[in-house]
Amino acid sequence: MYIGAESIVSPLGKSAEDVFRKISSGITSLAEKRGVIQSSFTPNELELLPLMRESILESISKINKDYLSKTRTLLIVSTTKGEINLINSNISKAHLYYLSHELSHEFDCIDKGIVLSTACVSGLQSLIIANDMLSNGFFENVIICGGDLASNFVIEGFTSFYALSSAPCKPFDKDRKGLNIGEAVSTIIMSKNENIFNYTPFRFLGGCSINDANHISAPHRDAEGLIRSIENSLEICNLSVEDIDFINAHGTATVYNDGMEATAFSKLGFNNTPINSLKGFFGHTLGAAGVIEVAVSLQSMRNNLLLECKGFNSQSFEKELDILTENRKLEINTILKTSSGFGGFNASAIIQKI
Amino acid sequence: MTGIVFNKSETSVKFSNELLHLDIDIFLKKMYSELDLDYPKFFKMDNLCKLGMIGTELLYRNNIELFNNKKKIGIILQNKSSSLDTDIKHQDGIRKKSVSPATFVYTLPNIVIGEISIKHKWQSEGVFFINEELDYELLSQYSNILLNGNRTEINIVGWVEVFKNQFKLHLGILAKSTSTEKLKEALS
Repeated sequence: MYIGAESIVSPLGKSAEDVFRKISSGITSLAEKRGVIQSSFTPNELELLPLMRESILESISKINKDYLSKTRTLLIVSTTKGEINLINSNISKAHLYYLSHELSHEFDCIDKGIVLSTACVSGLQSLIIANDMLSNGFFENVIICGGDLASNFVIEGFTSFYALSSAPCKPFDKDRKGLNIGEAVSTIIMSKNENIFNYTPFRFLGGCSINDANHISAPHRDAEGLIRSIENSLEICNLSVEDIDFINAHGTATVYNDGMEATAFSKLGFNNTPINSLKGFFGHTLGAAGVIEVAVSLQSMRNNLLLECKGFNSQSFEKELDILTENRKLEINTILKTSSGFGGFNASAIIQKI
Repeated sequence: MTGIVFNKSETSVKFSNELLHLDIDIFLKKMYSELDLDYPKFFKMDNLCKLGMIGTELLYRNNIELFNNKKKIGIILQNKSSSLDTDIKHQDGIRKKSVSPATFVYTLPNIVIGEISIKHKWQSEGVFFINEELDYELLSQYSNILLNGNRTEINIVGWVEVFKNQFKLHLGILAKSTSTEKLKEALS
């Protein structure tokens, strides 16, 4: 299926192109606010819905809208906490389906709206499920909109876990000390029809999400779930490790998560494949993460420019990985995206240039 | 409050009215001892996870031959209130300045899939959707995608909802051979 029309609404900027321009020149939106390093709007956004509306509008401006209206279009909202800031004042808006209901009523071209919520893999899993729904003929187009806010709710929660870093995060670095929360919304459109996109789309080849059945909040020591997920995705796409030109990893910058991912990449033989995590630019954006990180990676493919793994200096993994210390000009055809999260979920998917 | 667990034999286990009118905490405790679960982790879980565990356990025990020798067991769940029941507890903790990581970890709806997977050592595909009402069309579409693509061999499919003292559990098994119409009747 075809994938493109990516949009981003984030503290870094309000279009995918603008955000890519900024982060490719090394700009990060991570900054201290009320004693916590985070990537957030100033002032912090209270509500998610207006940001989602804005992001969907940007994506729709990049496609043939008439085609979207004439054919069956599904909206998948990917979020972990939705309008969590309203939990005390308006419990009905704090229900996650409020977002898909509102958006599918506002946009005439949307025939059905659903919400997917599987922690940090929500975004990538939404893209995978969009692809599955298209391949099986249930819809012609899918709009995937991922978003979450840097709410007090999640910052307090991750603080209690001792998961937050008191400095800007350092994904895959030997001195990594934890993650930073970020708020953002990102939208991507997938379609069976290559011709609806104003800019050349890419091919979403497939993916899957596998549970490691190990622990609800700790990554699997041997990376069993992630390894199986990547192996399955390669098999689904009929590709091998050598076919992957670049990996956009999850890379939250917690000790255990990044260690688990490095183990998976090493065991699978990805030691010479360029790898980055984008969390050093805009933090861990939770339900938006898979979508915004794929959006940036599509921009990377459009520009043939791999981005540095911001915050990373040196590694101490058993076998060295090619983690990007600076931007690299490279013609990339096939990329692997991975995400792992609470509940033991490990998602992976493969995207290719047409 | 309703609770239905649908079996392959196409008869559903309905909880008695007496059970369903119990306070949720008492209902869950009673089911735990009736099933003789012997799984101490159960008491660390929030009510959404406990309810999902009970439902899955009933499905599993009534259909053991179906689960035997199968490795790829998918879990496709949906509800209305996500993890709001626990979200409110975490929010209270913030207000009282006593935030607990043991509560926070349950402020995600997909944790129930993690708990079920750990209990049964199922390493397979899982997804959690949120909607105001049970969307049988979506659940069966996705279940068939996984089954027909040989990504799973059987799927546990249904609705697991907890909000304050209200709860609803409608769970079933979808295999390639399942009569989807009867399951739809039972779940909807």
